[in-house]
Amino acid sequence: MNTTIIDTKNLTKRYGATTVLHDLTLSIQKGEIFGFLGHNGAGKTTTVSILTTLIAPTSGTASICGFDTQKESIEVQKRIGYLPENVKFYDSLTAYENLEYLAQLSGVHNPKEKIFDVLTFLDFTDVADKKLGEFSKGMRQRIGIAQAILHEPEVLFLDEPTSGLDPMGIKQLRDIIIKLNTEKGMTIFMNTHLLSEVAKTCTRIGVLNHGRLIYSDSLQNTMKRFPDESSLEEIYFSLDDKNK
Amino acid sequence: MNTIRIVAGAEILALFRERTMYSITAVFLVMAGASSFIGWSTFTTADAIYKASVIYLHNNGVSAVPDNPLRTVPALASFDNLIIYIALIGALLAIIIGHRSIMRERRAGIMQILFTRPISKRVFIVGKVAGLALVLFSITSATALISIATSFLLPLQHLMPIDIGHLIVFFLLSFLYMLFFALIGLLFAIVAKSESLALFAPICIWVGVTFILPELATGLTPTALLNPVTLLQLPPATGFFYVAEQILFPVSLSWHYATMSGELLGSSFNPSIPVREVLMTHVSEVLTLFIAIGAVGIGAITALRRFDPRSDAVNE
Repeated sequence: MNTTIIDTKNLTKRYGATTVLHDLTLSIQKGEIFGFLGHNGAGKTTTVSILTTLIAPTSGTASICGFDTQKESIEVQKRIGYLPENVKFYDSLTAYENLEYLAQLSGVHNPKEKIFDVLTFLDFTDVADKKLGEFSKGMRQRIGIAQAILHEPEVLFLDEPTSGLDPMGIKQLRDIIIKLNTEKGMTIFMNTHLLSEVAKTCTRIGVLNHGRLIYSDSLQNTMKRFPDESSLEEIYFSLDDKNK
Repeated sequence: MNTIRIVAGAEILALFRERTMYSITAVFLVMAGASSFIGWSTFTTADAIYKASVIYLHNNGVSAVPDNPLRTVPALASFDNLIIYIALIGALLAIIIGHRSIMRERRAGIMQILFTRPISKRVFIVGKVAGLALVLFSITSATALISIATSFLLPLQHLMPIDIGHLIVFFLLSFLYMLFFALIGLLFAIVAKSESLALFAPICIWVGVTFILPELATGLTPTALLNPVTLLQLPPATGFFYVAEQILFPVSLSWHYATMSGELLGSSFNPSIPVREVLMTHVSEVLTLFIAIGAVGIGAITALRRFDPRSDAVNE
């Protein structure tokens, strides 16, 4: 039986006269890897910011695991992990110290044990005592994933996770995302504009265009529905053209 | 409670790893030590002048010389300079500590990660304030220890147990005064869009509270806060200053701080008053200081609730 993990109804966000998100209604099931596609400024980060309780919607509702993101934000926060697009840390602290602080704030009971479990899972134990200021973008991204999964969230939000990574970094991150989904059963919501990554990672996609959801279906159905298009990229552009 | 302890612990750890913090604290502590030396040096110079004058008068046939006026000067008077150092450098140090407390997170860009954690913004601010209050308290305590130690090392300073009590109350008052400025620094670090504005605004407030407000609130009574001289002339008796005094005097924090501190330490012109009497006379002033601290604290919580964590990339 499918369990809805992320549910939004008519989610709208306005900044003054500008509407950046129009009536987004979306439902994501447990265990899915959802790829949220759209060009820059389409409203993907705004959506994730609302779902992760960072900002309030102008109207509409959103719930995670049945908890309202506004009225029950603490319950939502207990169940989510978040990796922002440009993940940053306290550069003067070591990887371990950064993770320890965030683990404690997340209510993790055995932070030390948990941190080493997570770093082992990510094959990254050798960097625990290094200061974050010395880390490359790829290394930061892995620590970013580590902080997001320390408390074993049910849902993981990733905002452009492969942004700025080299091909090796992208592949490593992709493998981690799939591993988190298959081994830890996490539902993953991934903002991206890299279509190749979506095709290799996601089970379902949604396309956002100027704040409106113009398409949402499983990757399998999408490929069947657009038999003439040879790649996801062509499907995306075809959808985008129709909505211009 | 546990989350407050975690946030406070992280705050203390982060503050004690910052070079800026160390530099300003070191300057402050050195000046506190120097304050005792300056007080002692002034005292010995004045004493030497008195003794030389007595010898001169005796040599010129004058036998009836007045008593040494320094005998009536309270033992704590040599700590007078601390009032100025705390009102000036201590308050600025506190602003920087408060400013860094939030700006560290904003500059690091970690607000988005922090506020997706299951902690309320109110608890977060309380933790931050607890952390920076502990740091300020440590600095104040270190200043107190240095001052007392210096006073024992120098001759002519004879502190009695009651003097130590006065000093402790003075330092507690100084801690509260600095905490107010630390919270101002913290508040503007939340609300200001840029880092430079977040520092500039509290400094403007510090200038207003330290220099402008006391002048307006006391009808331009000259420089009593920063330069402990006797009142040489009466303030101008105009309607404007009368109204300004009625409105601003009750909230003139630095004036009240300086007055109470002066009474606690005693000075060349004001003998020290028992602690209980000082506190009883200035109940409303002490209350005003607590209300100011509370108001800025509530302001910081409100500001953080409205704060968009995504705006953490601050422009210089």
